[in-house]
Amino acid sequence: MGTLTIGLLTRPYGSKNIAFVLRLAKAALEKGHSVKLWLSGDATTVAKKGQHKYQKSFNFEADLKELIERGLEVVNCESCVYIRGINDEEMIDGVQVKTMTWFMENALSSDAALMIGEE
Amino acid sequence: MKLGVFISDFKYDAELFDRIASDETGVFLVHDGVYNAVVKENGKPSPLLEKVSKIFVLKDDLKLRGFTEDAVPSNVEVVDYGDIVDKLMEEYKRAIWL
Repeated sequence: MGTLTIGLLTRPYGSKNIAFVLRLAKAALEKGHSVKLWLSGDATTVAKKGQHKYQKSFNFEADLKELIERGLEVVNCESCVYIRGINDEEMIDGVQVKTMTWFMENALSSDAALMIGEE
Repeated sequence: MKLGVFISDFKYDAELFDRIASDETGVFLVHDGVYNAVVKENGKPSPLLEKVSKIFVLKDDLKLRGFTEDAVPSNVEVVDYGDIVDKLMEEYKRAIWL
């Protein structure tokens, strides 16, 4: 099995990209791969606790929690998340905070890497 | 190294695509990008379908938009999320998103 690193810059709820990423990550975990998800820019807000669950809408907090339990490694960009006023206590348990160096090292060393920018 | 290019919209940056596409490129049509596989403009298929030989379309996003697999031309391969994982891990090890 291998390692897949996914980088995501797109904002949650205003874009479908995070939904795609979570499904792809789930499929990769189910195949036994290790999956690392790097969140930067507005994507960092998807790791915030307390997202309201409406009847017929996504709830990315629940999806992220489930995938973290299955082994997904979720890392928020340090400067991006703090500049948005989200501190460590407000992030979903298990979400790490690192610098861009972490992403570059993992994107280059992983078996496969996918980068999804802004819309 | 083979490059994977995800196209997530019906209208995409054709000029940018032409600059990065090669025989080694694999195109993954997802989200509204699936329309490139099934919608014809003025009776002609999307020009994208002639630019590279390896084109994949995500079954889930086709179905979501009311298309069945028989609407997909033979030169486009219908894939699911698991297939995409396999193709990234085995072939298109670096991928970008347009």
